[in-house]
Amino acid sequence: MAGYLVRRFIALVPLVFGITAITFALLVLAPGDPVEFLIPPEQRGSADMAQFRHELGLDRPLPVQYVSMMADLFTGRLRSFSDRRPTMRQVEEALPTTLILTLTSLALTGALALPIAFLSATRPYSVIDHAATLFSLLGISLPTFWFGLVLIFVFTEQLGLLPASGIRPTGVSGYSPFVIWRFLIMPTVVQALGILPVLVRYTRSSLLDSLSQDYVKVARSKGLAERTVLLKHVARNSLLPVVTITALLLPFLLSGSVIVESIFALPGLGRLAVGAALSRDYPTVLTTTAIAGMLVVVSNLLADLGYLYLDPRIRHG
Amino acid sequence: MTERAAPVGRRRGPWQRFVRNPRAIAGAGIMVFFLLVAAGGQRLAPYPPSAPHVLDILHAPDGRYLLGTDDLGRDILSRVVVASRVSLAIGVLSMLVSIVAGVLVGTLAGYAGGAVDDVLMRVTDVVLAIPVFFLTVAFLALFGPSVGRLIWIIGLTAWPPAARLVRAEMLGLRSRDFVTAVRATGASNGRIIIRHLLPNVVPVIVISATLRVGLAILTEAGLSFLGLGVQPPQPSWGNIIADGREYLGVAWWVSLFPGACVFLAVMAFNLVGDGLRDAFDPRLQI
Amino acid sequence: MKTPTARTAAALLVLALAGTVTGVPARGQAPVQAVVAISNLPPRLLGVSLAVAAQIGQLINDSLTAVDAQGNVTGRLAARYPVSPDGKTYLVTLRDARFQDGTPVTAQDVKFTYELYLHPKYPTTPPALLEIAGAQEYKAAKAPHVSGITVVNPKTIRFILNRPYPFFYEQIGTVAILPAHALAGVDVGRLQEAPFTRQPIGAGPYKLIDWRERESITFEAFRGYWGGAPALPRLVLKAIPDDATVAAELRAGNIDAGRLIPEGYRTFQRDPQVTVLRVPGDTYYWFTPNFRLAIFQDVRVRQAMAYAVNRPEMLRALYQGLGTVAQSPIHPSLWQYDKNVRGYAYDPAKAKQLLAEAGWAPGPDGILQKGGQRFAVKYGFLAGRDYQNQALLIQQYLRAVGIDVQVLAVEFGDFFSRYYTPASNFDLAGLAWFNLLIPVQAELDNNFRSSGIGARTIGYNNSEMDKLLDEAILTRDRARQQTVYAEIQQLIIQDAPRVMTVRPDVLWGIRKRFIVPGDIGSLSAFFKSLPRWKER
Repeated sequence: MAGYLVRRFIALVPLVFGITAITFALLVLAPGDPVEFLIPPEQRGSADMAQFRHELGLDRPLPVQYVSMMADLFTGRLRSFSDRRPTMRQVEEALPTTLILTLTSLALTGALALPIAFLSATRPYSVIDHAATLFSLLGISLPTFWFGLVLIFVFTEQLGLLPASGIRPTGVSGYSPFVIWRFLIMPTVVQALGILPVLVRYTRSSLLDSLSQDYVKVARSKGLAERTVLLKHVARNSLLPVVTITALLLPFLLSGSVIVESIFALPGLGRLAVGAALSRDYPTVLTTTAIAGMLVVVSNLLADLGYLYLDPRIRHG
Repeated sequence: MTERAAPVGRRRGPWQRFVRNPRAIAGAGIMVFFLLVAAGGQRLAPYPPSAPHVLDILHAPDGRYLLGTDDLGRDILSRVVVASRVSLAIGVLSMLVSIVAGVLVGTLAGYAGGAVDDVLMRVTDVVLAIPVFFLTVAFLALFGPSVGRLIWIIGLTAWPPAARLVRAEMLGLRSRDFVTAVRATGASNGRIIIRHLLPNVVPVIVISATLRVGLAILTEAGLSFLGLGVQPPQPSWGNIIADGREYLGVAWWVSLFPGACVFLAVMAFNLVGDGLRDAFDPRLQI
Repeated sequence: MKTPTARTAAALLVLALAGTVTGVPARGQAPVQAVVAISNLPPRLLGVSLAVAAQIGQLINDSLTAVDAQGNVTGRLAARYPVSPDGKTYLVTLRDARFQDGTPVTAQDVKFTYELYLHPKYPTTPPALLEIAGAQEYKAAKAPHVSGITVVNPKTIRFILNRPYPFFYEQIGTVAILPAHALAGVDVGRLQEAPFTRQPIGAGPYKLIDWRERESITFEAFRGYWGGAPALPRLVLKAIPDDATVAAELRAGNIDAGRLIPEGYRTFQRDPQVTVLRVPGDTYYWFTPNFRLAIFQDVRVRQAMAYAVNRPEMLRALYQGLGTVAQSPIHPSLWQYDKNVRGYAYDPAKAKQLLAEAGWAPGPDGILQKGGQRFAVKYGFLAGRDYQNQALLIQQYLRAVGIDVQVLAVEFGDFFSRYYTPASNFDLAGLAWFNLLIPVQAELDNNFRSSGIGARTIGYNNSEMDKLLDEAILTRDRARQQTVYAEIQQLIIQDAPRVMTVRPDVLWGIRKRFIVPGDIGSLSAFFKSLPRWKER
């Protein structure tokens, strides 16, 4: 089993390499000169520019730039072009917000999707099933930023119930759940709405699959209570694919964070990434993309562990 | 075993199931409606879409402006109608990019197997692990947004699911008796793939393609919010919604109508996609 | 029903949250604070040319002298500041003031500060500082010190200039004075990486106590401020990029002040909890031709464009009339502004006539032609609502007199790299300028003097203008200066190097919780007024 995990872990190296290499290639191919954006217009074209380019290491061969950028990235020496602080410091500030929002969104999605899927799978073609399908359709078709703005309009501007900007009250440090929960409600709902339909649909079909299996018929024929059959047998087996899909939802959530964090003025990774891209802050663009990619990779690993936990066959195999 | 190898015999069944599905038909109806509007374009619009009417700024919907006007007095109806072309074009063309790429990779991996399969699937994993929106935003911010670039980047970041589906189907088909039989007749690999294998994966491709269109339209809308979608003054559904976001309280119509268009169009493509899946194989995981 | 994954997820969440709890809000003796929304936080406060950095700097720092709302000099850290009869020697005596770390402000700090701004590697040296004797040599790294700055005693410092320069206290005296000991040993070439640029110590009314990236900057009243501790004990500038979110937060009372869009201004006028503030804007908009193109070298063509644009209509349509038509590049609140300056009235007939005189005749498609060349131009503007809406109206106005305009939105970074290229991709550029951040003479030199950056960028060169700008500097009599500035403003109108469009009012909503000083006349003044806010 340890060997399995190690193999999985090693397999992740090309993933991280691939993600950063693609991003680096984009940065290199992009038109325009990052130095242009960093010095006052009056100094453009002067000797200062060459000097500055040299300081930023932009005059070295591309592979050297890539390798040194990556080395600097992981040792925390890579500095943002715009605020000239280590990019890892920026990530440190931004990551908690994005992680918390991602987890609350996953929790809300799970808490809603599983019962909905269960109800609609055990009563196919009932009113509940149709309502669930319709709801999924609504969720998947709504532009999320528009939905977010409507929420702000109703719950902040009209009702004055919820804060619409930031992750915590001013003057508070840390992320105590008792303090930040009000700030998380709207962003979480918006994030969850985007992925809820995917999870409902997937879990429903996975449950339907299990329900038609022979062992369920056997269990039923033994006279076990329907509740026991569903919880002990069906649920456990259907959870395997659900674990995978949950890991696959993480890239969606991270992508969604870019927009959600902009609407709700959250100080997270998505907003850091957009700001960096718009100001051509190459080191920060590279770092945010690498970190987001690594989050996905880690969540895939977690999904593997979930598999091991849920399916003894893999554990002992 | 051989039922999926003979698509001709099954063609009527799924089609009939599809037309008897009211949701799918409703979806197809909306889809056709939008496609017609897009085809009509400017000819269906009461005003030029970018003509400001400075005396009718944020004018509420009435007989003159059926869907009201925006913060520059431009007619929302005209803008939404003209925008349908570029919004649907981005949806459909980026879908084509991702499907063509996905089918190529999937077919190659599934048919060739072995090392080719390993490498291609590793690449697919990499792309799948990238939070693609980060990459899309970076690309558009660095290279500057244009309709062409939107189509390419939305398409090229979305092929892995299609590639995986096609590969899985190919792996299943490759070892079937009929493939062995055809190969025995001396047919080339290309011929086997094109004439005998691809027709069998058409349903999977079509379903996946239909769902892709909706996602692409939503992606453009999201990018417009960040200012990286279709660039004004050319209207797209996404950038009209973004234009109206400051006026939710005073002029709800600016963002509501284009929002409704995105919603209906995406829903239509999803309904059709779901209908196709139910008609072909309800248990497909797409 | 609780499903296993839901439970796992919940447990994970609690773990994650518990792991990140590092502090709970201090309850009880929380000081009165005002939360003011701004769009974005600056990347740093020193060595950066951004309006928001300048506005924050004014809260933290103080300078030898300052310019009041009308443009007159007042003493700040300088208690006395006599000028020698030849206008070249300035003897400044400092008042008893302290930096926020308790150390006194000394002449040594002043000397250190000016040498920092003039350092060869300092990125944003204000051009006026080069008037100090020896400054150019120092900036060129040819001298170890600036010869024209001498510490006479710990409280007195002497400046000697190269030539009589009447704006010493308007331009040279207004830079922020920094504590030498806090910056000692900092490599100026890597100044941007120095912690000081984000943890500054100044001699101004507010001390920066907390900076959270993309979140907020918090300030605390500096009790030892020489002008008396600010009435508002604590100030938070909160970063909220989206205007719609700002409006919602202001309505709900989650922030105390925020910028408004014109439509929002009208709705907030009816909100009993909110005071609306409307003051003349610091920003005016204009569009400027690329003078390297032959088409625009004819002054009649430039004047025609100015006649063609219906500026009062733009103001009504885009800003609900909340603003003024921009007639002058000088802010109307300043003494240099000429109240009699009159720009172009909307007169499309006159525009067509001027274009006809310049040899342009309507072609078959209604677009003007001259020698087979169609009058078709590209108008580039910064991506953003204000620039875009103006561009679309200007497109319509110019089309009406026969000029075919293609509008093109460009992202911030791209815009300036293209706009500043001599071979620019566009022929007209839509821009804006923030007044009141640098002194008037510096603004005019930048934008209209042949050697100024702004003028060089567009290729503008007018020797008469240069002569007037020199005259303004060499004149020491206020009345005469006023006349020269009036002439400069007239010449800008007549020569039309740019078509000035509108100066939208600055609109803010402020919760009634606070009593705001009544003398706010600009955006800069709004930020400067924050120390004087009082809770009702």
